Amino acid sequence: MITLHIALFGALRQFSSEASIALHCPAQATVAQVRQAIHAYAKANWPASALALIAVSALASEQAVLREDQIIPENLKLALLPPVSGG
Amino acid sequence: MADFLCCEVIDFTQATLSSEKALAFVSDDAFGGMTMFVGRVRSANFGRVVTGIHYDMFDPLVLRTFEAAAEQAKREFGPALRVYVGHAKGRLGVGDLAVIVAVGTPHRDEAFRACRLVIEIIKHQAPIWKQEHYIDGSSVWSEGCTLCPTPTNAEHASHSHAHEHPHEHTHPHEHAHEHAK
Repeated sequence: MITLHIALFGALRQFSSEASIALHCPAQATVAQVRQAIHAYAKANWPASALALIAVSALASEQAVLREDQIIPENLKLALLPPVSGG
Repeated sequence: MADFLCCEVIDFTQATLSSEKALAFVSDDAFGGMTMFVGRVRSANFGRVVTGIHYDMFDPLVLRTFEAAAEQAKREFGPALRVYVGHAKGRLGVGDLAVIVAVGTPHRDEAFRACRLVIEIIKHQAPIWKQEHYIDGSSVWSEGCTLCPTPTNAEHASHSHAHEHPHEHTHPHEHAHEHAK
């Protein structure tokens, strides 16, 4: 198992007093598997409204929004990004 | 970073965006056309009196998105083209400048179109979030566009992501998160 730290942004920040959450995932987990772990964490710790927002949020690295089938390297900095509204 | 592009995230506690800087960067003796889009915080939205907007950002990916937008503009409207993109981060008040996109090209058509392309990419793809603050003390995170996985270089070469569905990245559920004072 590895520990992934996932930074929170936008409306997701309201659900945690910390800027990121720490999840334990299998090594070589895919984005889809990490998303499942996030869902389980949110279901256990956050209100129901968080789950709907997470469902439409994207997982990203500092360089790109990730595809569901991509494998997450252990030290990759991850972020959970709600629907965007900049500009 | 390519020298045709200047992109930056401005911490509003430290500095402000400058239209003069943007236009100076995209100026060139070979360019007859320059365009600039300036986004500023307005005083009302959906009938509510706005006192300010907090802009949250995932800075590294924001800059990468700005670069990708400029690169796409250069592919479509270049190669003679310069682009400036700047976005403020933090708490802005009414009238403050939130975003500037400036483009310089030899002729006006490319300048207009490239500027529009870049700001649309920013609005639909940059990891930036707006939290509107209202006169009654409440605040709401603005509804937005769900992000798609970043295309690979091969996918970029085969289609334009922003042009495919610029207004279709909406999410189906109510996304206003009210915060009481």
